[in-house]
Amino acid sequence: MSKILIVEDDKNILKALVIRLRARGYELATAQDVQSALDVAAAEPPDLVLMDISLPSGNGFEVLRALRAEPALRDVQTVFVTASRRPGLRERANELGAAGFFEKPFEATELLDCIDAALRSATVHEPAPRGNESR
Amino acid sequence: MGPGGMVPGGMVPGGMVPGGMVPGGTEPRWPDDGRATSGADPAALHRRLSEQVAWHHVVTHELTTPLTAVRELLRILEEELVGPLVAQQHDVLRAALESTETLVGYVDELFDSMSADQASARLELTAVDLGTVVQDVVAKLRQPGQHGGTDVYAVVSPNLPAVVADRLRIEHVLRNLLVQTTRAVPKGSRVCVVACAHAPRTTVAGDRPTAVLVAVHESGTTTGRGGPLDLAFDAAAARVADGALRGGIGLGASLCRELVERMGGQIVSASRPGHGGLFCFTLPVAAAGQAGSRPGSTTCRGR
Repeated sequence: MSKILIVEDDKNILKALVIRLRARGYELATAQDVQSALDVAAAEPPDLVLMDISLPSGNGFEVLRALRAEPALRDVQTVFVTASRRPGLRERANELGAAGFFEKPFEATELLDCIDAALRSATVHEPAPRGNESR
Repeated sequence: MGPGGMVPGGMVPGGMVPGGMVPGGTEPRWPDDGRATSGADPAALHRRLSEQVAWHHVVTHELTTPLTAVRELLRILEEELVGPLVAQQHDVLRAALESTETLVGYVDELFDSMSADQASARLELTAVDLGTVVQDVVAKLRQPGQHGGTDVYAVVSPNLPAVVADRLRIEHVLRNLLVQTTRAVPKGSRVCVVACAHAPRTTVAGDRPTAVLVAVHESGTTTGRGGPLDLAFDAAAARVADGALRGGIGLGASLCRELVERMGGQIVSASRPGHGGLFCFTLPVAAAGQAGSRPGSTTCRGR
């Protein structure tokens, strides 16, 4: 069973995501800020991180960069969600190799489909050997 | 109308707008882009606009977050992910979801209003390849997380002349019209964006187009055909921009009209029972030397 770390500071959106992903059969961990996201990811490396971009004391991009710096987590799939429509966020997410980017209010079926596809892709493709790290 | 060629005004019954959507034989009307800046310190104006845009971003962000939670939790209940409901509870939930969707629409409008101040600022008018703009905007809307369930596609005529426009603003206009259209149609609908050359009704063979027309049109469902585009054009012709876009369809549309008109174009909307809705706008062709043309026709299809 794939494990997903949900990083979302709004407790009600977090609750909705937990219900949907649990119904999909995923194992879940949650965090509501940058530091706890890093702590949880280090303790229980997830297969995918579903991450809000705006977080208390930081943002999802920082979390992803920190995860990428950890050898055990550098290949983790990431899907971003955001309530912000500032220009350039999607492009930044793409540059960081995110598997998906969704504006709130998102369509849950699309979000779930994207997560499923990202996890299938991670399963099908073995991690790139060292020295061949292009995404 | 075929997607491959010029659209003479005469092919559109009644003309797009009484008197011609694109005034025949006249120079494009250039916008007065100094009205918001005359007499103002440009640095102070820029600072004020930046502050207002930042404030709007905060407000809309704070609205969107709880709205997302409300909609998702209601949908979870409706889908019975946390337990079965009786029929009356489903009815109540559907009513709640309907109101939530209305709120989502209002928040979208609020996002649009963020550009209201920008619309009053100076336009950056350059020669713009409108076909590329159409394809870019459609491609973004086809990405996951954007208007799922609607098949959005573009049909761009070959060799479109460049138009005079502010590229960022016209992207905003097109996106807004597409969002309004996709929001209004049921899931499984098809929405087509056509970009083609446009000429006044008095066009004779060999005349150059004076404008490029972009039409956003519900073209049926993914399982069946919608009404012919010409019929929707016909309906649009019956409603001039003033009547069609003032009041009733929202702040975003009003802003779109302001932007298009300030770039020297025109915009109309129409709907026809059984044939879906239509928004279309024109922008004037850039003068020789400014213009660039596209090498060929491209059609990109959505999901």
